[in-house]
Amino acid sequence: MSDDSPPFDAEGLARAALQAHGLALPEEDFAEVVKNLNLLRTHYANFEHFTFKPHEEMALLYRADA
Amino acid sequence: MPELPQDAAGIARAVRAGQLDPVAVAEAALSGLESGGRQLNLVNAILADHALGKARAVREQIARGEDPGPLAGVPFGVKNLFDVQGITTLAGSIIEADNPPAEEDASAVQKLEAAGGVLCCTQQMDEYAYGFSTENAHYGPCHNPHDTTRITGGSSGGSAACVAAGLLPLSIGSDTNGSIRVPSSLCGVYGLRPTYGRVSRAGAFPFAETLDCIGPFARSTADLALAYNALLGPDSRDPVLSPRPPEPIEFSAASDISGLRIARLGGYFTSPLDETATAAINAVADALGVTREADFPEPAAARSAAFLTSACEGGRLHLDKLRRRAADYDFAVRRRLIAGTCLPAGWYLQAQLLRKKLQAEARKLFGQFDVLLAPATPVTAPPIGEPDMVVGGVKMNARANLGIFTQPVSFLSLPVITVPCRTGHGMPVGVQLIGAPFTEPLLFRVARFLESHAAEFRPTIPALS
Repeated sequence: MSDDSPPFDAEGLARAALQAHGLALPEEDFAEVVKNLNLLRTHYANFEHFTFKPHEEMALLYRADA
Repeated sequence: MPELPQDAAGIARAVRAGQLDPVAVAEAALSGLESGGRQLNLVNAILADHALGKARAVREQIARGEDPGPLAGVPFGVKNLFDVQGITTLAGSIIEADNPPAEEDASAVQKLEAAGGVLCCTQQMDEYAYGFSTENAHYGPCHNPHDTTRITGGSSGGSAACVAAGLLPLSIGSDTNGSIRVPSSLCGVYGLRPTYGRVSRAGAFPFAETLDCIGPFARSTADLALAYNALLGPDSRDPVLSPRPPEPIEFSAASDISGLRIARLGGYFTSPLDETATAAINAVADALGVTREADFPEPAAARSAAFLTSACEGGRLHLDKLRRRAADYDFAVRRRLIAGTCLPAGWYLQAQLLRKKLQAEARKLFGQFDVLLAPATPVTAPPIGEPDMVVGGVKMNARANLGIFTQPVSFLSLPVITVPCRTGHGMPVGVQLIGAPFTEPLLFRVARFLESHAAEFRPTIPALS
């Protein structure tokens, strides 16, 4: 993520995803889910920088003889 | 009553020779589970009628001159996420408790009983296998037989501890991120996580299906091999199962590690480690004469990707139940699963791309080495109810970090044997022997060498008060 990117909005993401999934949560649970999402965002930061060349993604995941 | 053999190999040998009554073996195991198993909170269902019926069938086979198989009369238990015909599969949750009984045994149960084994119980676990401690919010904590104030590790805690306590010679557990290796480390027994796709998972409640494996616990490498050999073989019920022919472990040859290229993993795998875990990895490296160090491909990234993969796949699996019965989950499991349902698809895809990339790098690493050594856990068993641990002066969450050294390895689908080690500091701790995919026979060679090399690598059964 570049320095001028907006900060990760775990709360916004959680609200949108929960609504999409039809999941209703007590506020206390919601705060903990947001905390977990922020932790997962920290984990994602450990590997989001890996880059793959065009077509390499398909070869890695979906090569016909894999 | 004469003293019964405590190892699976000894029991099977004596039963097959007609020198030991399998019904007496089953009765002794059931009695131990009723007392010690209940005392330590390691078991859910004790299957007395089933076990005695199976033991009588083995006895009748012997009387007819038939061979019941390599596990003749050997009592064993399974983590309560395996289907057992006639009882409800709990997977550590109260949500499953109202389900009808399983109609068919899980493949692992079928295969061990086809080899003559006698299923005696189902065993406690973390809810839905999403934990490293087996402090189950519904069924209570499992107690470590070496120190009952401490955890067993998880999520297959009841399975490991039944073997460690001497209540059973064999158990079968599952390992998604370390759920065999962590409890085998903290309970001081051998544990095997096979290569992903080597052993059928049919009839086992899933957690994260691209990571889930099942495997055995035992107090000796011979017993571990007996169970592993029985688990091998085709099974149309698990489409992930590899078509490779089984390679059962042969124990006729002497334990010999000559010619094997073994290295210990450096960098990430050297910290955090407490004094006992440090002594254990040093003891294993010294016993094997290991002087070289290797770099595992991107272990921190692999661990993080494993976290995301587990949360995402687990969240998707549980979404419908979360809609209907969220309040019935262990609160910590519920929040982790719900967070998993919220993850952007691109994050999950990136994790899978990373996995493929790192698997290719691991294949290169195994061109240089046959077996890699790493700690199984950073510490010995923490106290029950203690959320944090301090390692090297650093305070960290105990539950999440017990898998710090197991998650990167299983993310790449590699097979691992955890070797138990007691270095004189009291509690046991384990060391991972890691191989390239489908090299379980090499891992058994090294584990057997260690077992024969020194008493510190041979589990001891603690006296239960």
